Amino acid sequence: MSQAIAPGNVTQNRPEAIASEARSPWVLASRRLRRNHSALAGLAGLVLVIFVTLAAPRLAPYDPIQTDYNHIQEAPSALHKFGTDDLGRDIFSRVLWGGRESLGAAMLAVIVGMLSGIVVGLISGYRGGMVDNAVQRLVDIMLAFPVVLLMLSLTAIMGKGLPSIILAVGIAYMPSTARFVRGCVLGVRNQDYVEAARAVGVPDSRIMLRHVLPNTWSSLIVYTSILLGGSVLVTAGLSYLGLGVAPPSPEWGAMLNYGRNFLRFAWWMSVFPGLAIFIVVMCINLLGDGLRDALDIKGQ
Amino acid sequence: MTKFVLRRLIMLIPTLLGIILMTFAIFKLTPGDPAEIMLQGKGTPQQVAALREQLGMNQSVLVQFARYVWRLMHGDFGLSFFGGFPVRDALMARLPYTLELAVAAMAFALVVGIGLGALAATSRLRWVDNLVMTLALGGLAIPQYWLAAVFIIVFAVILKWVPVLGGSGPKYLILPAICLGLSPAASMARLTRSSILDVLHNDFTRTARAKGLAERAVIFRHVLRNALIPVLTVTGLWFGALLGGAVFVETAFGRPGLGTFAVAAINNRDYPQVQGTVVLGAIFVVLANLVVDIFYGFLDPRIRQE
Repeated sequence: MSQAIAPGNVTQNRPEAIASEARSPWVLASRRLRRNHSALAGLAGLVLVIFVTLAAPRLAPYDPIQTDYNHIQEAPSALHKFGTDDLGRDIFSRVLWGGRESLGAAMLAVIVGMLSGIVVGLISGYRGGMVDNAVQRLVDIMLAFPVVLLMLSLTAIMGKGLPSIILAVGIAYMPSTARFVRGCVLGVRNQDYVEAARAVGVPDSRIMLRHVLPNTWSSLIVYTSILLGGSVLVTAGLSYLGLGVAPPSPEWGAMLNYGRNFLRFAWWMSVFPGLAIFIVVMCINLLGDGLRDALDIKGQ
Repeated sequence: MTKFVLRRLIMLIPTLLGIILMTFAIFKLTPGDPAEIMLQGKGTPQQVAALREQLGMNQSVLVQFARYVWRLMHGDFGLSFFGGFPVRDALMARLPYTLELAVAAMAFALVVGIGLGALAATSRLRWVDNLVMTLALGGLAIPQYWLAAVFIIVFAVILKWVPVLGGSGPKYLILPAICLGLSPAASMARLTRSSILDVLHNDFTRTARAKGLAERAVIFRHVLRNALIPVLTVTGLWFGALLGGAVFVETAFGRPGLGTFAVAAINNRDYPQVQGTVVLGAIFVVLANLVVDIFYGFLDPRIRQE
């Protein structure tokens, strides 16, 4: 299959180049990605955001939870780039620090959802038959729930806090991921190399992990990027509803929740944390779109 | 067609039962004894035991589930933990607000999404296409709760067109509906565009052009009609997302509705209310998908014969 993608015009002069190209669809994909300016912009933005949040302790000019009663609700200025809140805390520093919790939670939720979904989808798709049928009916039911309501009720039973949000979002992402992975697996399951592995007696678990799963990577990567954007929005959203971190700790959703009471007097308290969420999700979506084109995955 | 509709209706039963079972299970797993929560920790052991008996909690889980289903079939969503009023009444009081919001948001999404998607696909100007697609990507990335805050700052605080919170009537529906409808609109614009581009290269489009139809007629009568079928399918799926998004938008604008109701119920640990909202929401999603399915079967005869 990879031979088909190799460009034919190079064949005469560079046989060794064609050999390496033919073997690696990843090289071709990364070449396509490098030509896509908006995807590169997304990637650069994302790397920058991750760097800035990781370096928050060094970059933040103030302590994110230190109150300062001499500078209460000050509009953005040279001293406080994003202004201060009602307790004199520096919004810029809080946004920098908040990225750690917001992005960390969103990523963990995606990991929970992807891992559980991959396991369920892989088994369901590879085994087929009764197992597949039972799992898919369960997935049908879970998919019938409005996702946010499902997340809300899961958070409700697990209690407030970021860990509950992460688990709730992860569990809510499981059924759609399982469905997606199953679809990918069905496309690969009857390929000759899987048949061959089975014929020489490779155990099922090994076939699934070594032969089936690696051939669904490109689809999974694109799918992960779609989930990640949504996860950033929804984990911060649940936190916005007051189900997340306790007040003094900075987290983008929680900051927006807090800023709600000050829309009339201090717009900067709400505008900047939300802007951060928007920029991150935009970068993820740009990169995700680029990856989809580069890896040539059809549909969403 | 009747047979097709009937089959779809029968298929609803296991799905609905499954939804009810799952909600029942989720709330069975909830830590905390409902009887104790209802008495707010002030009841004597005798009172708690009596309440447990009254709530039927001493029966087997199977009997409890059967009773729950039976009650739901009669429109009984149980009693609120606090206040003791029927959850159904509370839900019914909120439902119109959320439905009104969801329908308005959907209308916005359909008009703007399909309009912009068609514009992007058919425009001969490259930058129009790029602009629309960038806007759509941005629309998908904007947090609804943040957009609501920005709208309030701009339209209520600065321009003073609407009060900061609350208010009812069509005037107060516009901003929340745009907030809620923006991401479906963006998604539909992308889908409409790619769907139209697919259809544009079809043989029947070429035939329509070849027989000398005006471009307008080609687009409206041949391309759009076929291109909108996938968009329609997604409309049903988006309905669930709208109900979810309503939680954020209603909270942000301080609107009464199922979303704010659910959040308040969670904060009060009033589980029958949360449970009721989730079941009602899921039923709505299933019904929306049924309507889309039937409509789809109506449009595309191949589906009916499956």
